Amino acid sequence: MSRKLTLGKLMVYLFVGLFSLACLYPFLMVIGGSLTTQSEVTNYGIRVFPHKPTLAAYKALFINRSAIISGYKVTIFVTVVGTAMSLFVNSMMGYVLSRKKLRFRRFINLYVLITMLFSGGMVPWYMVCVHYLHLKNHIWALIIPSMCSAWYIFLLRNYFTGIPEEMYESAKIDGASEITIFLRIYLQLSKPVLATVTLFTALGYWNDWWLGLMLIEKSEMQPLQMLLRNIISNIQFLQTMQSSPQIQQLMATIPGDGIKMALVIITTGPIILLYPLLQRYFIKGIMVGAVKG
Amino acid sequence: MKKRFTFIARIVLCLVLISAMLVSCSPKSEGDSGNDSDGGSQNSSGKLDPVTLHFIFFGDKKAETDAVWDAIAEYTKDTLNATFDVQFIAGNDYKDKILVKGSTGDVWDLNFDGDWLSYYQMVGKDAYMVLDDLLPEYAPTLYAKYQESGAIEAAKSKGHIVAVPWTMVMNNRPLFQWRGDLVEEAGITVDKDSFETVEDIDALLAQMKEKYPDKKIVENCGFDMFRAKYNLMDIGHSLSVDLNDPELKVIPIESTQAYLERAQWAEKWQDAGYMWKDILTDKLDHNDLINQGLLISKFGTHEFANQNRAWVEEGARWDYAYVYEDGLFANRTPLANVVAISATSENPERTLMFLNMLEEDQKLYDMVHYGIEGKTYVLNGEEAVFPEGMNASNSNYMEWGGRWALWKPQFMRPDASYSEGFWTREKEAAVGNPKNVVSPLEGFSFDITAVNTEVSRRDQIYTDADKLLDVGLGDGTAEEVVQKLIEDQKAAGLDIIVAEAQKQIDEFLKGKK
Amino acid sequence: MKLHKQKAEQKPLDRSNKFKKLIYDLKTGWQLYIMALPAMLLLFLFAYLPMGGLVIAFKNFNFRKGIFGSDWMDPWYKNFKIIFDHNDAATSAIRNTLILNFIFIVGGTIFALSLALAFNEITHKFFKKLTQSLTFLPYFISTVVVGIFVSGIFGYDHGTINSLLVNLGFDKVEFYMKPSYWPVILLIVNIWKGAGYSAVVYLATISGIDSSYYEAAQIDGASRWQQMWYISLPLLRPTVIILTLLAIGRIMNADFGLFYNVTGDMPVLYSATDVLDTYIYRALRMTGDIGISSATGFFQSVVSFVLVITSNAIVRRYEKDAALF
Repeated sequence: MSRKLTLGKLMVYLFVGLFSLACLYPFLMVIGGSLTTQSEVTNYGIRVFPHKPTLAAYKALFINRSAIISGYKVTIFVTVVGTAMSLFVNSMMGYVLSRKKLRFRRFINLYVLITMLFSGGMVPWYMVCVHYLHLKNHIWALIIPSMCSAWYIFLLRNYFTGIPEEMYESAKIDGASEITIFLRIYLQLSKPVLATVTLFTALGYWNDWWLGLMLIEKSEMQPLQMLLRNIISNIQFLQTMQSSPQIQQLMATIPGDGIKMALVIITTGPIILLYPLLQRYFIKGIMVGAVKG
Repeated sequence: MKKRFTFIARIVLCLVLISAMLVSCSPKSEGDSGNDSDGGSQNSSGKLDPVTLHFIFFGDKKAETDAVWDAIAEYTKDTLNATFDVQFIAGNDYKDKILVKGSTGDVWDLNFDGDWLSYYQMVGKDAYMVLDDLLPEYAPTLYAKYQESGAIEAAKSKGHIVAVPWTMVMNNRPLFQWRGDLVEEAGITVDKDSFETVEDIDALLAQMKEKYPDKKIVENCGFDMFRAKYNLMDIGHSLSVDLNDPELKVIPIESTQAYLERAQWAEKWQDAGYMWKDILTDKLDHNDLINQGLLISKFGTHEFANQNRAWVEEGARWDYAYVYEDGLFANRTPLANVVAISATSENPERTLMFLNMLEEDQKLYDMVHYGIEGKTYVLNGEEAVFPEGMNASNSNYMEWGGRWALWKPQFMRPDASYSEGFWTREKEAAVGNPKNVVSPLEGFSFDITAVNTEVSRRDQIYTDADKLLDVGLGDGTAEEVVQKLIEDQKAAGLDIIVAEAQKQIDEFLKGKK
Repeated sequence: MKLHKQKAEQKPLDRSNKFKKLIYDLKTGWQLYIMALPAMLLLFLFAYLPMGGLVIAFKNFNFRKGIFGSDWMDPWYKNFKIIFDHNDAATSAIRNTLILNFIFIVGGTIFALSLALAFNEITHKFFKKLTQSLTFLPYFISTVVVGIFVSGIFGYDHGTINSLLVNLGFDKVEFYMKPSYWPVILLIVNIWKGAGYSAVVYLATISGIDSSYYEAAQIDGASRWQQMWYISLPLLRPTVIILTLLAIGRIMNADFGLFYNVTGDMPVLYSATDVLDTYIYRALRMTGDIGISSATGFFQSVVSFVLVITSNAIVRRYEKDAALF
């Protein structure tokens, strides 16, 4: 018995360990690549430890410090507020759809599902956002359009249906309103899935540049990702433009590949800390005694 | 009862929250079509109503851009009475964003564009305003310039003027460049005067490969030189016309002798190792390869051959020679860099007046291109240079993208990019060769609406095959691949496209007479 | 007998009873409807209103005339011709999309599930936290950067694998000229990039399983393997099904970055790696035709819709709760 355990456990640890290494190593290469000069990349490729490390890529991205700071401010605000609001809206909807006795439940399910399958495309979406809702150049333009997502709603609904029906019924008998049941009971029991959706939603808002590109024209309101994208696009253009010798010299010091890697690091940086923070919500046995209690 | 009350209170709170969100979204944000006047009309006393003009340029907005345009507004207060709202869209996204703005009826006045950018798509969908009457009336100086240079024809689409092109003249006739210093060092002699054909290039490549076996010799087989050899001009979507043909019959490029020859040479050069196998996928920066001296020749044009590079090696320099100088080659279209007025613009008159002023006023030109003296540039004699401690990467105004369309040769100062007399030399190079011709199809653009499916398929089939043929990596021998391309194109409706294009060209030529 | 009598009594009052029931349901459920309102409103504004633009697929869209003012395409299906009209490249792209996405769904699910179950078995707290975070890293690496790495591994002249082969005395392999390798390469890259992310969802579900089940099983003498097989997996089934159904909803849409950047956009590989999104991208690069891109999107949506409804119907027969609707 104990021998079987050890072998199985060993295999599990090995499997997880090897895969984690396979995930870590390329990331180390990205870090190394972000510190590599272009000439080293051309001659030797990307390595974890560059021979002549340089901060040129980061310097190039942070050149306009005030813009980067405002970009961080915008993105942090959007991520925090957007995640909170989005989580609330999506989980509330997920709860509603988990009530099996609800009349028109199938219709609402279909209503949500179709939004995931059909899309009118970029042009009509832009028209609705800008011409009908006047969302241009507004901080809320970065939050509202992506606030409600069918994918998360279904995920949350799935989890809520897994919660024993007795909880709902006993609360109903006690005379609790739906919103009370939702807030006091279901949300408390769903910490794991809420942590999951929080993580995914936060990542979505943090990485988003699409809304910034389409709806924001003032550079002070651009989210971080959009700003960095612009900088890289500009640098790439200057590099291919082959203008004056001074510009050429200058552009030559900015590593074209390194800058793409630096972008990955800068955008990953803060948000990677979110996952460890949320891990404590993935506790087992949250449901123990819930029914009996 | 209490429970019900709290419940209702919560719901009401939610609704209030939501409606507050919606309300806060509703009011029009500043700068969004906040015009006061109606169409820039002058009131009876001759004074102009104040307007806001919305410009869109290419690239990055700099730190002092707003300050400079405020100063411009101040300077033109009496003549224009306009404030400027200047916006920048970064390079990679420019085309998509402008198309979306155009397609959804966004309001703006002026934007940068080019034939290599989104010009043809915007024009094809009528996104730019027709300027037939407005241009001569509100920008007479500019209009006269165009008439003189013939650029007015280029700015037309379906017979109407829709763009304000740049006034520069240049020709991108193909030439072959190689590392002069390395060639000299290796003892290879090149007789530039008799350097004329692809065979000459081949011989030089062979010698370079022999002396520098570890270097990459060339990156592709430049197609333009074969166009020059056979007097072909590209009219878009891989269709061409023969410049010697007065009827301008449409020729699909893959069926020409030029195309076959190029494919064969590319194959030869790939097999001989002048190019390298991973060229399409290794994502190496070719600019950097050249700077480092790892790639030692390329096909180029006069503009780029005459510029210095950030050479790593001491004494590195380009030598170059034209090939097929006797072939006809069309001048670069004035549509290379244009500014266009959106069909939704509310102040086209004022915008055109601004453009006209740029043609006449050196001071305005300086402000638009270089900014505020002392703050964004300083004068070094006649040259405009960066202030102390500043350069292109942290420029606070200069070197802004899209300014190329507003270059005026009569006012241009030598600056960090282009030295004294550079553009004069470009123009001389262009008009110097009698075989450089003005395109007979200036002002024509192929309207693909009727054949959009066929053209899209054609573009995809062509680019997929051409990408490989350009570097000699076709799936099979050059002859086989080209033959397959010809057959695939025919099967995808080539004849329909050619017929439609020919019809439009014939109409265009008839209209010109 | 009693039931029959009740039914007979209700018969003449059917319509008003139905109405009464409707009122009753609305009365009891009104709180839920209000709770559903924000989401439905947002979806209406940002998903349903723009859906009106699907009509572009059938029109000759002119910017000045706008969406509703533009003329209808003649014939109405002209924008769809590029997909349907004797176009081998398009057909192959569609086929690749379906096959490759299907493989991704199957492979990705199996791997992510295994990973989550493996995480669950790890007791060493620090190791668990560390590895969970590490497996998340690939998600952040953009496909452009992944493409650079892939070319570094599979390149001909200096690629890692080819250098290894040469050292071992074998011939070099031209990976970028042989389509057959790439479904596997893309599968591996896709799994590598997404496993950590997907595993989180499964982990959340596992956390929600009442641990008294495991305790009871352990008391009964079940091994960890048996616990996993008889408790964890069955209780994960609804989640797996839902995620799969949601993935089928996206089956006609490809991860553009993956297919474009990781393959280096190498034409020789298109027979195996070209998907509908990349094909249309190349076809419309110069023409930028909004009508055709809208038609393609419409086509993708319809196919996904049909597949999802069908799969959903199948799921409903066996696991009603996990069905999407």
